[in-house]
Amino acid sequence: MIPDLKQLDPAKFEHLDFDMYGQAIKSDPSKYFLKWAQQPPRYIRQDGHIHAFATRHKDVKFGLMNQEFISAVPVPGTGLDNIDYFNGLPIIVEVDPPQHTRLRRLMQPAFTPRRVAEAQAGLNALAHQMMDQLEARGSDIDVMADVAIPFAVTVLLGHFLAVPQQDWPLFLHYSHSMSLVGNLKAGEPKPKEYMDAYNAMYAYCEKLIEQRRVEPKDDLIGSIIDSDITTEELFATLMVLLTGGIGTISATIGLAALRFGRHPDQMELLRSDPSLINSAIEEVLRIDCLGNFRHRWAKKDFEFEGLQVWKGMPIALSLGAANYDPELYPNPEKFDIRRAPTDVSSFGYGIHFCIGQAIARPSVRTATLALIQRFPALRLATPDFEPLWGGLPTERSPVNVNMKIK
Amino acid sequence: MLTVNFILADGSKRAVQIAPGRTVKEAAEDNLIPGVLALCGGTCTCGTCHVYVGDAWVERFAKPSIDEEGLLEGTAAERREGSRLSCQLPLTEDMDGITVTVPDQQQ
Repeated sequence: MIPDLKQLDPAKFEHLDFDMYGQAIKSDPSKYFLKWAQQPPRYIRQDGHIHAFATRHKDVKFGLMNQEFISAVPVPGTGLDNIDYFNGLPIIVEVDPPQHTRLRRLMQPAFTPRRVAEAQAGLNALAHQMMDQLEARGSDIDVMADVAIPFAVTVLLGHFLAVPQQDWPLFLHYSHSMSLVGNLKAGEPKPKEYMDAYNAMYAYCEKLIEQRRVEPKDDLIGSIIDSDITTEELFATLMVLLTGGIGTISATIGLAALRFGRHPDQMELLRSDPSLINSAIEEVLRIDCLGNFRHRWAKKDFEFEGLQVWKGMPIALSLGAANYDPELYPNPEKFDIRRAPTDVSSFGYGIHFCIGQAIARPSVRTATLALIQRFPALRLATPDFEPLWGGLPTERSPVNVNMKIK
Repeated sequence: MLTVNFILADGSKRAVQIAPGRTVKEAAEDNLIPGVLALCGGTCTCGTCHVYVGDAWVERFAKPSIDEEGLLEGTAAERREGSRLSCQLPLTEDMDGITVTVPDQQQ
């Protein structure tokens, strides 16, 4: 039984005087992360619910890897029920084994390092084709709309899922409509636009399963369907791959462009030595982690580095703060593309480690390097440019990254 | 303690000490052996801690699980006879002197 606020040790309670899903932390997370990365687990209150809050690297990693005390299955009534992007479908990120194991095995063949290595030439060609189109235009670009989003969509839908291009709008419409349910109050009905997109996508998945059972094809969707998968599971799997992928890959390309725009010396260093690209993108992933927070729930009472946690209690893990832990990353606020950071938390750890990272890492490297190499004059639209911030409540995703290329 | 002899992708050799019960991946990680990434943290989830276990030693480990098999099918470097994910290889005292080769590519 989770006690109420008055019964908790006040010394272990941190009062957050800002909205943890709001603009302040999205706009400048480093001022929070630098402090949090050195603090042990404690309690916070968000939307009226007490959470355990872990922010040091070792605590975040424990929270994501431990399966004895900690579950990925949301506990109803803990303040996070309203974040339901998939209309209650059994999505892989919110289930534990054995259901998780089965879904992960269906998805795994698409994301092997070998498959991604084979796709690299295609990614290079796509990136340069997009840069050719930009070159033919004026100087002003929005990296999100002009590079990051179309690149991520084409890589995922075209190169990996191999969805026929005429069906892309269906996927994209659903992906966009998800933002309509991110800020609903608990119990509030989902908007019609979301439900229409959901129903259209559901019908498409039903038809796809029927079709592929009659006419099997040896591609990624074929490998997922080649089993006793249900419509709900196919829908959930495709949508997690797609929506998980488009938003995250495009946001990270945008975050990279913004970061390099703010550090022209590092951009020049990468341009002069492109072999630094892997280290450079690891450093972007570290310093500009897309996911500020992930949530887990306690399966039983346990002590978390001196903090009593009760069964059913939500646990907020700050991936972003973990990446600023000075024990692993000295001078964490410094953007240094030669740092070659390891053990970066941005894709999580353990059985829920992001399956799409195998595509995300090379995609972000390819698009970022092409942009920087092809446009020596690349710079922010204005030196003090600040994007609008969006993305899911727990994420920091730039809506626009305005730059000049000529 | 037992010794693990790593052969790195560039051909150089490193001998490291580790306590029995820990894994080949931990032996690599604790001693900063380059080329064993283990991006998932060591839960048989990502396939980036791939190694080639020396012929004389490979039979001493339990056979790969279904999930390890699946990941070994798609490793970045080619799968060979001794291919294993190092996070799935707990070391025992009788493995003192084991040889493990690190591939040139993990992702």
